[in-house]
Amino acid sequence: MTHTLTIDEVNLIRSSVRQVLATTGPALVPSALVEMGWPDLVQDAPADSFTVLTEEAGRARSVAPVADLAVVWGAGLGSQPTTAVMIDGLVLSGAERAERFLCLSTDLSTAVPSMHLVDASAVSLQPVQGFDPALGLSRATVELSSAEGVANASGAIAAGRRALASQMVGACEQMLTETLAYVNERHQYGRAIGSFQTVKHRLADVKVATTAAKAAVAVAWKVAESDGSDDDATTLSIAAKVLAGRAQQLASTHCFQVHGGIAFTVEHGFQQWVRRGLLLDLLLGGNDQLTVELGNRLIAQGRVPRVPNLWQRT
Amino acid sequence: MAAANRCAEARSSGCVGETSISTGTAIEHATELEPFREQVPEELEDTYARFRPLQQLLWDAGWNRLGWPEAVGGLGGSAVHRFVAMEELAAAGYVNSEIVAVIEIVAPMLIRFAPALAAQHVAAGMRGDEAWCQGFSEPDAGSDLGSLRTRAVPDGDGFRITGQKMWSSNGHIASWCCLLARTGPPNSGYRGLTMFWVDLRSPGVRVVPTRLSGGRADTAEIFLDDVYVPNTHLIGDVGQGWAAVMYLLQFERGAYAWGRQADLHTLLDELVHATAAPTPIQATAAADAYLALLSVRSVGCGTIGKLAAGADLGPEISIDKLLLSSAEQTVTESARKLLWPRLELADDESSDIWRSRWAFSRITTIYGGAAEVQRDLVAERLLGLPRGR
Repeated sequence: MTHTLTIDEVNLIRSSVRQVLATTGPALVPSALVEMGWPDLVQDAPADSFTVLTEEAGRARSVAPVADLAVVWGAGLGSQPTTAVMIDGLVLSGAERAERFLCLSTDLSTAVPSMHLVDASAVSLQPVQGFDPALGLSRATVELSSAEGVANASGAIAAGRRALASQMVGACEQMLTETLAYVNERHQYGRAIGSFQTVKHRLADVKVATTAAKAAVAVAWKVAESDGSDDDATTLSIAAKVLAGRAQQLASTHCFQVHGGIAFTVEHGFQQWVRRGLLLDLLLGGNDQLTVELGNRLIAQGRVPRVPNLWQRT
Repeated sequence: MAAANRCAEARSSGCVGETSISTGTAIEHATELEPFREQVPEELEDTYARFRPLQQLLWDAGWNRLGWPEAVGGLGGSAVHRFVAMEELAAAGYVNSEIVAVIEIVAPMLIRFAPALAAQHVAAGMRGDEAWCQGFSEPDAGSDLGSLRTRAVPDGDGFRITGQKMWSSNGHIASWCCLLARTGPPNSGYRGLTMFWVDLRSPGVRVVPTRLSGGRADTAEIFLDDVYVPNTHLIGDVGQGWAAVMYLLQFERGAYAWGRQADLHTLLDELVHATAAPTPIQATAAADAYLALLSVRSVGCGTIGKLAAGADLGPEISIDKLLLSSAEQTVTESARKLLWPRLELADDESSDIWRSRWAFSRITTIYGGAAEVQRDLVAERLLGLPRGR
């Protein structure tokens, strides 16, 4: 039986999580969380716990492998700080902590995604720079002979998508906070640029998209925890990730634009949000591919899920 | 029959299990309800006449009496029950009547600001015995409602109203109008406004329908020449008009939005059901429509909860409003892509209906406060950006 926490309880978790993220090296965050009592929290209230953790990681632009915890939990393996996740051959930063790897393939052309566990000794890692070198991604090659099958691949992928969605929501909220401070302080033509309607409307759109994405992630969790079909849980985790991916894209574009030239400098750092957004969006299915996948699912089912239900409101 | 099955499915999924709605209604009355599953191209007055029996049935069976206070003929309880009923009707393929939309928006204001009028009119409105409309916009006062010029001047035990209203949805079939007029001096802005309950059959009232691009006359202009309205038909006190409008808007963005998203889900159900072997363009269109609806619904669920609990909704409702208008337009645009090129070229009845839905959806970013005004409100009141444009 899972619970919905009170606002005070959520805030308490939020400040503990912030503390851990701020004071712990990325690779050690999973074990620090376990010491903090993470397994009990997740047992009690998975939706709130994972949402808070991943939002805060997104907000802090942390490279700690927090989505890994969600994927491993979603696979039915509980809280395992030393199990790293490999998605389509990519591993998040912190792989050095891993004793074993949970390997996922999200090839959308196959109906059932594949998943297996391998010992860390069977994996070799090659660092990836790409668009976001700070993320510390690695490309992994696996010796498959030592693989152990794991059943709940769709649950793992869905939990991972919800986690990545919340990371993007946290990033959007922080981008908006930083941008609001900037447009209130920056003056042109004798007034704060935040008083110009075109600037206000761009940021209003970011607020609306972020609010919707955040609400949709909560709904995706609710559907996953209800007795309904796995189909709906998969559909909703895809939808939540697409909405978060789109919000992230909108925030990157609008917040970047209203910062003007300063955002282009390495020193200012805003461009790191743009890079991080692109990478978070890519993992477990980019929003263009997932949009098509979502549409195909709805059309194949011949109906659309009507969620959340008013009578399940909390 | 399919409707009955879907209703039964809805019941077994727990849809109404936890409410006290008499759930057998849709099945017991399946034959009587059948006409309301269909939408046909017709004038508003014909739709109104066609849906009256549905409204009577729903009221007499108690379905839409939940959540209205007993003083107006309701059964008490939380309005959430009524929203669940709306939803079950939509999910079973029945259309939520436009008669109800305006009542859901206006009745809470009557109950709060004019209990005596509410006791007289809410049941009649819900049963479809009388139609209502709103008289807010004017030729020179659209989104900038505070600049309206229709005047109300005291005269004995009432007021004399003179001016012009436009964009009154259902205005030409309505017998009653909640009308906003200026009782303060011309420059009194929002402060000098008062809300009246105006009998549109009074001497001095002339109503002219406005045909919209969807093909149907959905709204009307209302001309008022020295129209007498008794003091007993004041909604709230003199000068309280703006507070009444603000109170009403919460229900437009809560209750009405909930009914609309329920209907839009049903339309999208139809569309995805009728699509086979989708192209990527069609798949994207279906997904876009669903994402827009999921956004309205995910955010709206919290809004409905607050509304039912009697909490004031605050500036967050501008988010609901922006999400709903975006969903209205995204669903019809997705329909155009999923049915392509039928909206552009086909002359059958179903294409006609989709064309008028598409055309009507274009207005949803204008009415009830233009999307630009909603963005201003989000920016100024939620994000704390400086006022002014």
